[in-house]
Amino acid sequence: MKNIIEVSNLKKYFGRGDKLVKAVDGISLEIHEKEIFGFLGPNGAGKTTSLRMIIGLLKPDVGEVSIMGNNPYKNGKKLKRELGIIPQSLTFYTDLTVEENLWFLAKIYDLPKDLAKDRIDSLISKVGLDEKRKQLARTLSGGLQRRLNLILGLIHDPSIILCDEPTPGLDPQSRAVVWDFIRDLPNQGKTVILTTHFMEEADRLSDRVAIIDNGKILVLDTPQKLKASIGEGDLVEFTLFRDDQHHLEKISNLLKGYNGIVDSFVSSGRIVIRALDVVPRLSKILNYMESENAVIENMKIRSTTLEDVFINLTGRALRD
Amino acid sequence: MSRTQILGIAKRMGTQTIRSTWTIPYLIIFPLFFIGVYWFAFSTSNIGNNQTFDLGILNQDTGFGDEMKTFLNNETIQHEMEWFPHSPEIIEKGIGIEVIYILKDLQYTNDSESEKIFNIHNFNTSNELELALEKRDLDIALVFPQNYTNASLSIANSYWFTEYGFFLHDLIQANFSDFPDFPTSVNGTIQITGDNNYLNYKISNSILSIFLNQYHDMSNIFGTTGGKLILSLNEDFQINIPKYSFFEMMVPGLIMFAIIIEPSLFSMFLCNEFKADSRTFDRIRISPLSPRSYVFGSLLIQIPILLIQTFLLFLASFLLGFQPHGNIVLGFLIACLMFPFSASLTYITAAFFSDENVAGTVTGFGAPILGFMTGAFVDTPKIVLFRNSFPIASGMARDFLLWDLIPLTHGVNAIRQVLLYDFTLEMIIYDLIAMLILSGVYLTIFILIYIKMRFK
Repeated sequence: MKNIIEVSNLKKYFGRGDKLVKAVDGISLEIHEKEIFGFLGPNGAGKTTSLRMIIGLLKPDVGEVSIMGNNPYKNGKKLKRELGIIPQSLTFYTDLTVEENLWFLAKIYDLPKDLAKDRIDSLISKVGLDEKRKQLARTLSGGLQRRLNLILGLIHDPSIILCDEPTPGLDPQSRAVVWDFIRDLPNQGKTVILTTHFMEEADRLSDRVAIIDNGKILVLDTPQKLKASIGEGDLVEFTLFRDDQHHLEKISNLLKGYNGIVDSFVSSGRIVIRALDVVPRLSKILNYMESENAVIENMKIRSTTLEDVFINLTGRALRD
Repeated sequence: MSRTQILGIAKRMGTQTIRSTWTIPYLIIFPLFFIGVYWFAFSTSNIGNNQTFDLGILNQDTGFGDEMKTFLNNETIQHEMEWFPHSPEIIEKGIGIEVIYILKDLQYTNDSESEKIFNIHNFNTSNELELALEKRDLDIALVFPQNYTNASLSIANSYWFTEYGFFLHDLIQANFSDFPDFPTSVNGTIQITGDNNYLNYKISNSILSIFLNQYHDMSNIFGTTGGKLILSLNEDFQINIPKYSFFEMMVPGLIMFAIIIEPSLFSMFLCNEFKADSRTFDRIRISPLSPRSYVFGSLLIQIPILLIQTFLLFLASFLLGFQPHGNIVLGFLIACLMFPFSASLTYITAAFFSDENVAGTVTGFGAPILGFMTGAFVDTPKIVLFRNSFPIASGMARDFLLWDLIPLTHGVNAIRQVLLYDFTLEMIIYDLIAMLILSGVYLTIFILIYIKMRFK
């Protein structure tokens, strides 16, 4: 696959001395053409900073970036029409209507009037804003504002689209619209870079995911391979009434030796076990736990997620 | 740069301006409120320009040369050349004496009490004069240089040669063969001096400038130039200097001051782009929009805002009783030409502040400080940068003060002189040019800083 973006040893530090923060600490990666590349990590992991450096909005302290063979800091002008940004914050003018916001950007990109009109109509229609096109942006609901934010980055039909946390705080319906929209972009020949701290979002949308924490990439692969990398089997999460850490650790360690359990650990006040063919074994596991004075409040069986990968790598959950 | 992009920026900002809940009230209410407060406070005040100003005179003129003195002291010649300055005092002390006499008797045209405009104080040394000015015992001073008479003769001679093809002394020598040649290429200019940040100086300087210009005009009737060779001793010399209330005296400065507050409105707009929770500027920065297009677009939309505000300021002043005696159109034009400086404040504010409220506050506080520095409202210390280096009219110069580096100083001077004292464009041209050049310099530098800070 052809690399459209190449990043080598990218570093960005803020502050000095004791207050030095390594926001991005030596990131290297390649992003393929027409893929959705996900950056997954908790808040403050360095996702947005990395993204801003990749597109040339922030100059790195160290490192090289190449977008379609061009350095965004030296030949940024060549890339201006190739890059589209869907920022985390709602970056539109609240006192302009939906349509006026789009027209403004169409003019900034110097689009011919007819082409601009077609694009505006098409984008508005794609995200279901037809009836709201004459409405001031500030009067839209949060979900509709997020949809507007999404299409503003696409008015000039860019080949690379950077989605920085595109769905925080969205209702399920709006989230589905946004996800469908993003998922369809590679079919239109576009490459998408997605940053998110929602593992489900990264899992569902990304062709490949880089899990990032403390400014470093911990792993980079397809979601399937990343999930497979931490072991086979399903996961069972137990929330206990008696939840002091010592007791949880004790039961977790006991479960490790139980027949068929691949792994057991404590995460966010819960005991998580990984087991092969878990359902037939479940009653025995429950009995065993009961014999250890564990009173189960809640139990959940699920497949492996990217969050498990993150926990496996860092020992803590994404939301911690 | 693209026309579409520039218009796109201008249209967007224009729409935002109109839709903003506070912009229109700010545009309309602010001028009315601002002028209204001053009207309320000072419209009934008796303080104004109907006072007598203390004018210091340092006459260093050595008068006519010895040869000319001998010639003019001949009684027969005095009788036959009575059109030529010939009183013993003028022959001895020079032709500047006439100017001093007229100034001494000068009165306000519409003053029933016939109060004198100037109280003349003669000084023998420049040190004494400077000391009196510094203490503000004097409001203003006029210095006649050592060679003033000879310079006047030289200028008159040259004028005749330029106008008629022969020298004045050649004409006189046709009748009086022993009439001495006039000196040639002698320079000597009257200097108006004082503290440009002393309100009394500003007022008296305006009056004095009207006087000298009208005096100059009258001298031209008699075929001389520059107010230097004055043959109007027997003429009934009158000038039109009206009285104003303190409020009216303040109005021109208030108008200019209000205009430089306007950036507080617009810098808030620009800063809004950088707010952490609305990084709309990120979209602009990664777009092909050039910084110049952005700046031009934002400049474009400020022009109608400024025009409306200036118009409202004038209207409010007139409605509250301001009766200018000068050219209102020229006054309005000067106010509008303050736009580049006003806009420059917008960009320097938006370059360093990312919060609209902070930007508005900074500009809101900064504008009065500038107003005070330019002496629009109160007297400020005199800090001379260059002595007698600032030309204010042909043959006249004043000190270049620190505050003269601010275009507003020149703008206030120019609009005050035009609206209150009916100065013509020609008479304020130096202040106007200084204002435009300085404004252009500030605007260019501040825009470059803005681009450097925001588009880097």
